[in-house]
Amino acid sequence: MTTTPTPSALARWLPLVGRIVLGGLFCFAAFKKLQDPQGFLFAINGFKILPPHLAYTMAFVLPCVEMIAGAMLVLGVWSRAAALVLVSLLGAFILGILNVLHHGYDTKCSCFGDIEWPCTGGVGWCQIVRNCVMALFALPVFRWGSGALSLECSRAER
Amino acid sequence: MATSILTRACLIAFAGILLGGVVSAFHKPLVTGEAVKPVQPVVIPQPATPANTSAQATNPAPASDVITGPDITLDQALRLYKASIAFVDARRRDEFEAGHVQNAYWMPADLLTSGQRPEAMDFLVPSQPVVVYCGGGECDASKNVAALLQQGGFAQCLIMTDGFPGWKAAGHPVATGKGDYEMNPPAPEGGH
Repeated sequence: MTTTPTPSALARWLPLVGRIVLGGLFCFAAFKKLQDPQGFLFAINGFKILPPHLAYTMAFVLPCVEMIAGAMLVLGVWSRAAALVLVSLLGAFILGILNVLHHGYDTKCSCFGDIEWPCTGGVGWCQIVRNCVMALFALPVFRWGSGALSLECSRAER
Repeated sequence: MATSILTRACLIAFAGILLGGVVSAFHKPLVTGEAVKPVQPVVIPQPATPANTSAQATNPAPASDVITGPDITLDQALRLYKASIAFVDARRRDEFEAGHVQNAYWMPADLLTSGQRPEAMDFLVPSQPVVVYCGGGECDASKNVAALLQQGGFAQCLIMTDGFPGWKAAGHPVATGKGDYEMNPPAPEGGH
């Protein structure tokens, strides 16, 4: 006899998976960018969207926002807000990549530092698909909140 | 509820901005490709022939042979190439192996920024001119590598703005696969 997961089970575990995958990926991406801010600055300049002084600031600010939001999502603190920040970033990245594709610029993503998996080579459609897939992991968090094993839950249960 | 989530999201972003500001204040300054400085004037050496050697001894270099760069034309690049000035390819590895300036060294910016020491660095001499190129057009890689090399003490970094496509289209010497210096490493001393 098989048991189907109850809505409450889905509501507990799906957000946890989403939090760990999305938050974990962003924490890792932020770590790689902070390891090599010079390379990330070159990548930002390659998108040719921001003026130089803003690009310089963004080379440090963007990884820090990713790191804080990613860590909060993994821990389950203000999960919906953290997921909203990360999905907004993904949306901004997609717009930036579309701009690169539109103008035919030859630039690298540096999304995960020097790691180019699964998208190799320059910026392209692969990164857009990857970002869309990453954004899907935020849906359970928006729908059900933090789910299981979150600091928010444990605080509410006390 | 929605307002609360939005407010919290703004607070998270604000915290990231503050932290980013602190990190940037304590980090060593970064360079940008736009910050490539004018080079120390580079005199294009004449190919070594007995006639040139005696002429160079008596006459100063004509103005057309002095480059103040950093941007150089294909013609200037070819003359530097014939004078055995080192060429650096700043593109990705797959692009380099698909075709590069013959005898060029492969040195992308990310190899330099990630703290690794590219093998090509063993063959370059900071006191000698270096010509950097990438894919031409909207490609920034050559500017980025030139800025990093300047930061590393190379005072005469020149940028071949037409890039490899222009060089190849002009029918100048090209090679494919690994760089010559990787297959038959000569004694490291600069130039090619």
